[in-house]
Amino acid sequence: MKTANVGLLLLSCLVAHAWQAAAQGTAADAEPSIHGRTQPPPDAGKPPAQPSRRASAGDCAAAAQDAAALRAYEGAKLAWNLRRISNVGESYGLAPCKDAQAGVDKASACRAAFDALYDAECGTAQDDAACAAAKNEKSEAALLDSQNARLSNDLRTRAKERAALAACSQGAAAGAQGGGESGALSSGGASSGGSGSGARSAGSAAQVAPMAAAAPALPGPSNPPPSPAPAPQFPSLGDIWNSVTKTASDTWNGVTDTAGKVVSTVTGAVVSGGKAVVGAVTSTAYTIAKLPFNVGTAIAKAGSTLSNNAGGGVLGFLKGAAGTILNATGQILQAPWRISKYILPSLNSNHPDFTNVDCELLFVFNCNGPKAKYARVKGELFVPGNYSVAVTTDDIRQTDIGDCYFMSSMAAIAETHPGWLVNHIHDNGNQTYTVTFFDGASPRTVTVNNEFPVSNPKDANPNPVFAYFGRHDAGTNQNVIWPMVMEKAYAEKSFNGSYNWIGNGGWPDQALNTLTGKKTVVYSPGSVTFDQLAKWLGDGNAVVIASTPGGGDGEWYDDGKIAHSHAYFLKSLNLKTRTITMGNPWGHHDAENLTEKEFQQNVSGVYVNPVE
Amino acid sequence: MSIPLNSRAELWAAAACLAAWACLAACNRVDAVPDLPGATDESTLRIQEASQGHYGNLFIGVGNIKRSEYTDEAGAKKTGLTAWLFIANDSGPKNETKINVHPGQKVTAGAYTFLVQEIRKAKRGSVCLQFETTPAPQKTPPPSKP
Repeated sequence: MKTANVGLLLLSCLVAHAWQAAAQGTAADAEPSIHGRTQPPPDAGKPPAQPSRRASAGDCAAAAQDAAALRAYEGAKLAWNLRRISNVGESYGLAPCKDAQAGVDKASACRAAFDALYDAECGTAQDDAACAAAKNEKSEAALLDSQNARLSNDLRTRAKERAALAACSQGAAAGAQGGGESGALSSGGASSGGSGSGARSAGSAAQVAPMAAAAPALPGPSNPPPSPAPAPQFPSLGDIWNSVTKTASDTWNGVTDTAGKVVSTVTGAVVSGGKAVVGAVTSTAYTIAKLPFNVGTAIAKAGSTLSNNAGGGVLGFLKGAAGTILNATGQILQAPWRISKYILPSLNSNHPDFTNVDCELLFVFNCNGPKAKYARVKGELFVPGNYSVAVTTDDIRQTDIGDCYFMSSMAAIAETHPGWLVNHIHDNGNQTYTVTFFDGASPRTVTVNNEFPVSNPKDANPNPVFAYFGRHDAGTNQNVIWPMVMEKAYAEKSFNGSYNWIGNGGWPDQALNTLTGKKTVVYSPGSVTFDQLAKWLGDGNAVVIASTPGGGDGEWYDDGKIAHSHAYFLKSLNLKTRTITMGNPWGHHDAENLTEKEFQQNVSGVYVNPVE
Repeated sequence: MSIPLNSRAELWAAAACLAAWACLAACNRVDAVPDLPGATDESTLRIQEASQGHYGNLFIGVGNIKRSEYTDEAGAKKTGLTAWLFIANDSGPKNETKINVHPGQKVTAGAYTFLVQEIRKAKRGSVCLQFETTPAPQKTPPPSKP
């Protein structure tokens, strides 16, 4: 078959920027690790083996293999959630989150600390956005908590299964009772139960094994949770100051309240890396005059009062200003209205611009761009939830900008290699995500946070204006955001420069090359047969299809069966009926049931990429 | 006065560019009707061709803008710009419909009624919709305390 040069297709959605800047940035970092949300074990959806009959040795071996795979996955997922809540909580200086990854009990305590944070932010917040953001933190913690509850319940099921298998191997396959790690995870509570394991179903045993190995050890009979370390009497850099209680008779280097009395209770002060972060406090108006250590900067809590700042290391508080940063002598360095602005990675300056995203290339009109602002959105990178796979084309909804070439390229890969996409988007656990693209064959990473251009930034659940939320999991009330993350990374300043650059058209082959690191071959549709398409699909290729440029006529366009100047992806091919369905990156209105002739007449280019 | 050869070439290039611009400008067509009374920025949605906009629960894709014949609201035959709107409701991918529209046409989709206020044909065309119904705020209450 002859490889075609599609030539000067000026497609609205596919218009190439002749002057598009060469990609800039640094060399590739290491490829992000797999994080346990991959393909399901082959039998993940099956109910646990029923021990009601005498099992054969083969049955026992197979059941043991299945159970091991499930345990590995569930354990990895649980560990992942625990680690995530712990990392995020720690970044907020929430002391209970320090050990959250040690078990579900700790994670619940961490969630309670998030609630306290929310109350503090919304009790004294200076603007709605801070309160709304705090709500997000709280709901995210609640989500992780509920997921953990479900997972722990699943693990209990696995433990019962394990007991049944033990009986099975002894030829007495009945009457299995709970055991194993169930006791250690007793705070799981009500949940969706064992259904979660099958429905979420991710990761073959081979795939989850590295994650399971990398995950923190789960508490259980053979691995009891560590005993809590005694609170240090005198904090120093790197120490955790947790629930230090002072009584009226105690003094501690002049820690006094505003009335000259000794501070009664202070909890959650964390000192690390030269920064002191005060978490929850039980007293609302007091002064800590001096601490016996040097504090680089301090982040005060709302409801506290700035102390005197005489000499030495002083940890002060400022009334009503959550997140105020003080220097070593108690002077205010910065007064953000959200703690996260200081604690979380500050990527605001790197947000890709979108102000000219609607500009015509030659005739300038409507160049104001969408009325949108960056804000954090509520969502989860992948929400397997009740779905059987973490990534599907149903997650992709191109909105507002002309990047169908990119969205369809992602969809084409999701169609044939969903796991591959999962492995190239890494959740860093601190509300940032690292996407691995390719510059030629060399991997190149781009990190973005979870702030996106939204139309209603003050809402608790702001709506993105560009790539929209993917599937919504009613069970967890979470939206999938991986396409939004990918789009933002593709638009990132250090990569393509802005939404303006990616949002006014482009070429699928460039997008596919960037996504996979493999070279795309472009074919003229007139020379492409369905048998050839079937072979490409069978070989695992991602296939993107461009419709003809605007201005043309024809039944398919006149009847609205297909949109001009648009990029579709190969969704299905029926060799019996000899028809094809091209998926639409809008998430609806696929071009369905084209015959081979219609396909050849209404398509301008076929882009084939091997992905891996 | 003679013009150096390379300057003449530059002049020719400039003239060619001007001619191309004029030609393309002539191809730029806008068919529009008066704004909907009370229309605001918040109730107006401009959607680029081959993309889709989002309003409330609706996703509206725009495609195939072209000059063709249609019958207007008064029953008169007209020739002007038309476009396909590909409408989907957020409640599900199969809850979708499509309609060929012209300026001045009112469309009801789900809980929303909107006016097709303008259709613009350019290298990258667009459609301007003005909604009579504003989307309900999509706030959700904060999670309850444990």
